Amino acid sequence: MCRILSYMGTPVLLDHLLYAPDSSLLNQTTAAQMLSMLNLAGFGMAAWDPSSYEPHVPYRYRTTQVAVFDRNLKELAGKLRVGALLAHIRGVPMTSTVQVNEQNVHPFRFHGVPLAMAHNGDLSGFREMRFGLLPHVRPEFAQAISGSTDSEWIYALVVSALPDPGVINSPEAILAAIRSALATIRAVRERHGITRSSSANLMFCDGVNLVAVRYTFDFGRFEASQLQGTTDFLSMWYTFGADYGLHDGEWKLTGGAAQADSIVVASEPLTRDFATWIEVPEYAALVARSDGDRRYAQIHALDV
Amino acid sequence: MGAVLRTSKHLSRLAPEALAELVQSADRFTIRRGDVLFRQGMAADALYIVTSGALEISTRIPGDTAATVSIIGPGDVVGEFALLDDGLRSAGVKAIADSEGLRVPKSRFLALLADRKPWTLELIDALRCLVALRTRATLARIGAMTRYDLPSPRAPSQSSVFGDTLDAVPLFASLGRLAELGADGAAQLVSHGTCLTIPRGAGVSAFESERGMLTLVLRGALRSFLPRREGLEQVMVHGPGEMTGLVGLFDGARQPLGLEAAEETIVLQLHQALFEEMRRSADPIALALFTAIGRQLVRDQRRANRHLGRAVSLEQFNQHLGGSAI
Repeated sequence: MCRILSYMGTPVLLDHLLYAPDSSLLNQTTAAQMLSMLNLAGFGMAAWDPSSYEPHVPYRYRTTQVAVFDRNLKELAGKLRVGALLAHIRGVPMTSTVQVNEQNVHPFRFHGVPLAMAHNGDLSGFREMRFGLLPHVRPEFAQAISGSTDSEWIYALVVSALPDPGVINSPEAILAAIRSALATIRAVRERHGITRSSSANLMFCDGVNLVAVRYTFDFGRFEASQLQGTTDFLSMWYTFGADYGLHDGEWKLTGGAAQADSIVVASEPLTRDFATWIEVPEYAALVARSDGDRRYAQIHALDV
Repeated sequence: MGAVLRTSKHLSRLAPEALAELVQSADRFTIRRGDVLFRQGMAADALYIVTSGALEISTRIPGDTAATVSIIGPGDVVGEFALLDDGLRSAGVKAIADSEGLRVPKSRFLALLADRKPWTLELIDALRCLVALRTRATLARIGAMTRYDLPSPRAPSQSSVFGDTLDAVPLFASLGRLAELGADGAAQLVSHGTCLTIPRGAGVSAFESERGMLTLVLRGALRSFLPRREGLEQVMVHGPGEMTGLVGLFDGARQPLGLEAAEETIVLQLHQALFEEMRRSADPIALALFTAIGRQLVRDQRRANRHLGRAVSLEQFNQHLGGSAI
């Protein structure tokens, strides 16, 4: 399991998103509030700075270091102001079978494709089923897969289903591609007789669209001996507002929903006080789009 | 004070002796106009019963603004989640007039409940009914306002009986949410209920169906929904160890939500006659089951409130920015 953070709105200092909040993404490396495991297998981000050269191209950073020790990231975060961000810390089982390398660090973004994606969860039986996914991946993207994660395959499936992966797509097109990819995975799982609960919490961002998906295949279908008392770790939360900053001792968005122009979506709230955070529902996607001064956010059911 | 409690719509079901013992066991509180009784997100340590004055209940929504939930007065109860689960305060309360009433501390109440004092059993049942009613009211508000991108409704299909019911006992006993029932409780309830395997997408009960049964998820997930012109709107997803059908079982009216299998799901169904029998019992297994039911009612009310908060805040967000439906 991993933790994800995404942001879109008025440019803010990267440090104020990654480091400053009580339960910031980097603090979740060792002290997540809703996940009882360590997230030590790498940090990655795609960060869109509107004042930078080619602002539609994100600054990308991926490291297998434990990011809390990464001085380069800390220095960078003190300089970069981001209008959109997709950041991820990777958590993996503590076993030598896991491959910890840069190719497996999220978010994924193929060359020439604006849409980036990060994943929290894992697909049970992925090694059995992945070649069943191959016919649904465009050849150029099948060649671009460089890591060993199920996440990169999910990404390849989604961008393969976009009408034109090389441009910034409409929210409808992105949602349709996500639905198509989830339907493909569900069908291939069924073909392979895979029924174990497998979560695919996904966040996509291209600097203009932010799509956050909370979805689990065979939700709640655990073996008796492995039944989980809580599914908190499958959560996804969001909040919005007009002014992101330190207010009343906590880093949060204020200014009212009606004045809001910025949105934060994360695997769990960044603050100790959850009052102004709301969960993305299960089997649903939160879609936010920022197009000049026109922004909107909606929840869409994912009946796949 | 006694007259206020006797005519309270939340407490009038308590016997006069129970009400007298409640008054005797509670502390008194007074609060000045403008002062805060408790804040959202604080630890919940007591239930409050208003005997005079007026209190405003409000919740914060994204953007960090407060939305008024309701104004309450004499005879009304607030902070009831404190006696039913261990979560934080879900709303803030402040006085809009000088007010006073009774304060029932959680630790004292739970100690008396563990001793099975009759008045505590009556009060906790009344509180469960109150939460069920609040959830029904929240769902009605959701039904009146939310817009969603909706899937098409699916025709319910038949459920199949899940093998020998003995198979369900280890599954039940492994449910973390119902750990206090233990293996004995699992075996007893399975022996009194019916286990079903419900295919993905199949209907379990219709919107506004009769009071029906208590349905416990053993494996998989159920989706409760509101029907819409365009299809169905998911309101909650219930995973292993969660129970459904509680609002109708407590208030006796038709079920406010439809229910279907979100995935292939194994459930245990308990008939309403058994529900009623156990509801009034001081048997340890019945008490453990209804403790879990109290937590489930609170969880459902919190989820319904979040759903409503989501709808309200998204509407505000999109209205101001001139957004249009995708």
